[in-house]
Amino acid sequence: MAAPASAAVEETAGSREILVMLRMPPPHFRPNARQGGRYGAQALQQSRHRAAAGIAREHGLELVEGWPMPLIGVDCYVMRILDARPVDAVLEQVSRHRLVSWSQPLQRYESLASPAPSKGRDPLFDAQPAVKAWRLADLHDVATGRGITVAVIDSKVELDHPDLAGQFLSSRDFLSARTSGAEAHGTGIAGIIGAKSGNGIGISGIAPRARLMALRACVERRRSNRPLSVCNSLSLAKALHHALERRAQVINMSLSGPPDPLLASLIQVALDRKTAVVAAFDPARPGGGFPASKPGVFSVADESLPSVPGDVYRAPGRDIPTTQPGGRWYLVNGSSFAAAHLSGLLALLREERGSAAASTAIARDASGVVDACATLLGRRSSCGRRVLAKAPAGRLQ
Amino acid sequence: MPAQRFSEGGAVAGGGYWQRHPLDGCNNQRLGHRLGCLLLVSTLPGPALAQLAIEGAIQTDYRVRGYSMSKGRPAAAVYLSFDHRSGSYVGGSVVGTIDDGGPRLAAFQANAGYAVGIRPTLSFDAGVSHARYFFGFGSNRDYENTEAYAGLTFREVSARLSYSPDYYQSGSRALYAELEAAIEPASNWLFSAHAGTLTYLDSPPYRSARRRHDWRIGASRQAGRFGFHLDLSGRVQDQPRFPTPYYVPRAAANESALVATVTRAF
Repeated sequence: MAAPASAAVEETAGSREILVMLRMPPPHFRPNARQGGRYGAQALQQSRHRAAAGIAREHGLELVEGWPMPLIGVDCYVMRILDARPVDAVLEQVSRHRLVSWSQPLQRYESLASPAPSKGRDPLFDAQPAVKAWRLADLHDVATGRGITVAVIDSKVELDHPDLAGQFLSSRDFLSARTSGAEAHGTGIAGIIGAKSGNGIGISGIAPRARLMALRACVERRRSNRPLSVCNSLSLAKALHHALERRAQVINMSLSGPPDPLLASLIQVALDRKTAVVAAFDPARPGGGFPASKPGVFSVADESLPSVPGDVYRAPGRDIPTTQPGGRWYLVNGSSFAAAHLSGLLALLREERGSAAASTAIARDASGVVDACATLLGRRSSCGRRVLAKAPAGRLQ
Repeated sequence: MPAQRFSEGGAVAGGGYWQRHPLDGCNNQRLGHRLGCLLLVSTLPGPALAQLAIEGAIQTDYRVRGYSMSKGRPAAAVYLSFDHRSGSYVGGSVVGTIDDGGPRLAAFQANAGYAVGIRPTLSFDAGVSHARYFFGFGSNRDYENTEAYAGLTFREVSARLSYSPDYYQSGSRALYAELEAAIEPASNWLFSAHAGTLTYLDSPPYRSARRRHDWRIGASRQAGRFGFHLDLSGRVQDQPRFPTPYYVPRAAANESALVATVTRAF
């Protein structure tokens, strides 16, 4: 279903917008329906839009846009507070309306890319750390992610990058209808996960045969020398909902923000379906930030972080060569890219183990460093010894 | 002599196959009377009106379970439905066509039921529907049918079973089972398919088959509040119990039609 024109992400920066969820009636017989309400679904959406407009008028709000989320049985509407009332007070009032399932703030999320290397360094002068630390070539002898769908929920990916062209199952833009150029963070994440292997250029993704879904839910800004992807609850929810409807098996969300009920509901649907959800660990936020803090989500941090909680996975996140818009490659750093490594490994695991992958533990040492070889190849693996040798006296989990 | 009941089945061109119905002398209900009911709806209080789903449709033919109910002529319809947060719902529709150079009511339908969400993607509903057609099965006769139904909807697939104690005043009970599915190949596009089977539980009407099947495949494109739909539908029926004494071309018993529809949500 088409949504009305969406507001630019920039307009949500002031946090005077809230999300209001209206209950969707369960599908049922309608004489003008083709299949559970599809023919006639637009009329239903219009009726809910009228209801949302009425609620907005009643509470002195401006209705901005709406988006159906049938997987969790709600229609999600963005409403803007036009006066100086506190957001919490407005949320409490709106939530009491009989048609409202719940309401929440429209929250902001940021990617976790570290500052880029200073000018003058070659953008790609080191081999990929995963080639050595994870014995990537050995892993690819076993699996390459073939047949596995990985959703990259991030900023805009350069779909025709020479190292990425042809790797995408689909792409969608959940932000403004206006097009804009490819963005660094999303392109880099996609490259780490699924860049083509053996094509004689660039890098090899962790899962080069995986089918990627490039779902743009974030817009990129530059803060000093650091590319920063900014997303909000609604754009992420739209992308998540789409990924779930299209049956993505791995969902990568290299970002962090406050706990969010809407996103938590959708992520729970993913977890119930045994879909792997991977998020970046943010040491600056309680619990590592959301969605990393949600139980069941793979929380991943840069290996170089001094210490992380025991349930956090650590993966390569320093001096990672990856794809860059403009058909180029460069080095990146940060837990965002560590998360992308684990998403790629999960795709390999899903190809190798099939339905058993969901119950297969990710092997790691006591400090949380992932042992990719032991994860994929089991105890019979001969690789991974170098990683174990570096770890303090601990044992594989 | 008992009141004659119509016998349905494959209608040949010209309608000469059908027996006269006692209500033949009745005029169709005036279209304005039925539209007046719709105007009452517009006076509902604001919050109730806001929960009312309204859709208008214009189509090249109004078909129900493989039969044209507008004598193959274009029709216009208004559909209303109201969902209460308790899960109960009511709905109705009015369909008009052109006959004798002027607008005429072709059909009206009403239903009420209760739906319960088992999971966000799975729901069950049950209810009762009543329909009346004034150009039923390609004739100038009006027919009524009341059914109780129950169904399941899971994602893009729905299945329903309907029971009528007197199917279109045929004197026979009947069961109608239907399955419908859809896929969304691209944004704002929908391909759908429907299959239904009617089975008379008692002796079928004279010259009617005990079992009849109908089907439909369609493509839809949504553009804002407008929808554009193209459907190919038809019916297939078993050999009647008492075949007609003259040759009935199979095409008449097993008919298909292409229907174009434009809808608008309000």
